[in-house]
Amino acid sequence: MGKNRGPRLGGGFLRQMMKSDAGQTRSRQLGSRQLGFGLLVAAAVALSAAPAAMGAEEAEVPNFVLKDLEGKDVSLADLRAQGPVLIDFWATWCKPCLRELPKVDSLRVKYAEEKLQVVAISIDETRSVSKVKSYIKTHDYGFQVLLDPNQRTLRQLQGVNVPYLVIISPAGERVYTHSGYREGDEKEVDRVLKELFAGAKAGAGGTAPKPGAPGGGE
Amino acid sequence: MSRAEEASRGAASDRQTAGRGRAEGVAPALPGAPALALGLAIGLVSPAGAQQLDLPGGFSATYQMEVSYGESNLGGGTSDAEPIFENWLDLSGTSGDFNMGLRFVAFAPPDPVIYPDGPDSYGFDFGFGEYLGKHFDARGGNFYALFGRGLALRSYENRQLRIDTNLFGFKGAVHLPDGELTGIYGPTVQGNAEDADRGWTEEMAGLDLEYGLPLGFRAGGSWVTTDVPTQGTTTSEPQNMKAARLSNTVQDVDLYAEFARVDGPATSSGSTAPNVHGTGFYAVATTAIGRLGLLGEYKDYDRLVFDNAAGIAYILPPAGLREHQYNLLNRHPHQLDTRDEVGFQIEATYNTEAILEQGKTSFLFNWAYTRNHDPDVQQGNHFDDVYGEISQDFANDALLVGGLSYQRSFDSPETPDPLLTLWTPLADYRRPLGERYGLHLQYEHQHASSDRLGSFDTEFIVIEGSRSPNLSVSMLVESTNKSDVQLALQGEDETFFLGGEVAYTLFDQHELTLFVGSRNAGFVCVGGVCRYEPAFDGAELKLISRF
Repeated sequence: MGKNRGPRLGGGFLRQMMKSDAGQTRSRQLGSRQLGFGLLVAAAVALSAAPAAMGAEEAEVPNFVLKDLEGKDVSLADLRAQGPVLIDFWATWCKPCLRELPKVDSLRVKYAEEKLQVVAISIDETRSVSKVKSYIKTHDYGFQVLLDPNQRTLRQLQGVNVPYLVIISPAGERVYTHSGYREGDEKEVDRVLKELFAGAKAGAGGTAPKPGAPGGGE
Repeated sequence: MSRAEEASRGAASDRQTAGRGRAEGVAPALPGAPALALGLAIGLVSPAGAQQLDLPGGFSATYQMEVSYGESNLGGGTSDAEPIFENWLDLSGTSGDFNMGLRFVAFAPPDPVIYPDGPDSYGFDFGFGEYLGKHFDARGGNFYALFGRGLALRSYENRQLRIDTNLFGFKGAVHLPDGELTGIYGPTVQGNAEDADRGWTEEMAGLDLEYGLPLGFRAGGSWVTTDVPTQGTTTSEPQNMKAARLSNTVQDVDLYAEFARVDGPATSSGSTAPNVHGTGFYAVATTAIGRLGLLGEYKDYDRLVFDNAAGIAYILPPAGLREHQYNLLNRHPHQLDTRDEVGFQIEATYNTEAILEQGKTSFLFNWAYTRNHDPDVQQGNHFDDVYGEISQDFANDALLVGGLSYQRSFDSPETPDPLLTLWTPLADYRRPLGERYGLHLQYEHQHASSDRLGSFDTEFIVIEGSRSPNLSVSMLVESTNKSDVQLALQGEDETFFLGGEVAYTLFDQHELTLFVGSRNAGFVCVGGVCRYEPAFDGAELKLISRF
């Protein structure tokens, strides 16, 4: 390692895609700000329009491997092989999450025959990860609990806040996402699961239509 | 997370001059206009009645934007109408075992509390490519890392706190039969997290090995090094962190202990010695006996400082504090100080269905205790926090919570140290109204007794209605009886705050939150790290979109 140095490029190469002069003045930044915003808006519009233009092919959720409460590795691929997966990101310090967990456990019981895999992924960090196991045991929840202390998997699945619920089909499609918890949200999740399983039966194992999509019913 | 919930992660507090007013002559144009245009564009392009929209071919994007316009009390008696515009666009792609990611950020202007007088900036500030395999993982580009419980290394992003301590380089992990070997190498960040143009400073290298041992033990060891400037010179020297950890489950009791030692130039320890060492020890035991959960946690951090050459912390050990969810309990939070802090936390929880015929009753007791190593030290880390809570789940899904908190801490860094005592009773009631609607009422009262300020009381009320799954409307009211003298001593000028918030989710894909009104200053605290939010009077719009 070298001696103390000033600022230099690292990830800055990415910025070079946007700027050719790292030492540009503030006034220049202000002058080109609108361009940046314009690009941003254009990108968002393009992103929104992309599915229609490209046949709405579903995005496959990236695989992940996380530790369970016993320290064993559990992968999304393993869960998907057994059935649809309901993932609920939560934390012991998050009140809405704790209100949602019993509802999630009820859904696990309700759809056990359909082999719904219910996983509660705790994003408790180093400060509170010790509380996870005892919380789950004292409340006698039956779902599987995984640990995501650096919130990497939460980000992978596009979560920003918790609670964040994701339903993934056996084919790996993100069928449903929902952030936050309001009284009655579990009924919406229940409706989505019903449609998912109805679609799976109708399709004889094929890909279930997305809730609300043509053929998905309402 | 709604304002009511986010506010419960941190709230108003005593004044810290965390930031000054922004520089004169900031462009008066409302920077929220592009953001509003963006939100509008999304709404217009999304066809009526359509379901959520996804990107094709394994690509996804998450867009997060916060824009506000209003008056912020930034301390020093200044109060200016200030626009703030912050946004992050995360793009990612997946193909088999390969992932890539790219993040575009724009701060125009950045939050003046986070980056006082910071210039407008935008650009790509994060990117990576990685392979996640059965036998090993490899990643190039920007990355985060966590060794053990964070005593040796904690590189992370927390957008609520506006902290991003990533590295740029290489990270690899080898999956062993009963363990894992992780290595990192790359420069670390310097500059402000809300500066898209921030640079890089000295490389950091580290190794971490965790392995299973006989009798159920798991052992781990970490080593991390980086160069830091030597005080009073223009040179730098290596700073080395070493840590060892051990864990096991004995008779249903989960045990974890970690010890860390850092050697190197004193960067933030306040010492002028050319070479100092610091130590840290953390241990925790937890168990569940039927419906009874017990936790005991001990911390001892003595000059455990591991900053990079730019003075940015790359460790974050457990704070040993309860993360409070109610607003007034976070008025005077204790911020983790790994330079000199010793203490413990104990917590007991119990839930039973035996008290009411239908429904569950839960009890919680928590005691967190923090001191300096020398209890007579001035301006110290003196913090007592005792909290008890009873909650009752009723058969109709209603929930009633009652809580009482006692907190005692130093009121300000003055000599002699004035102590502040807070008593806070609270009540929280939620109930469903029919299939889709819900009602939430929250009341908090706080009585403060301060050697410096005298006594005063504060009330905080939340009234919230919701319609599942996509709408909630809430009103937040705060009132205090502080005298003019007390307000002046704390740099405040308001005693009443009233705000309304609407949160709406479109197609389960776009989360829109609008706050209008005023709210008191506060802290958002996560893991003993707090972000100050000044008192605000204006409008604030937040948007999160997923594609």
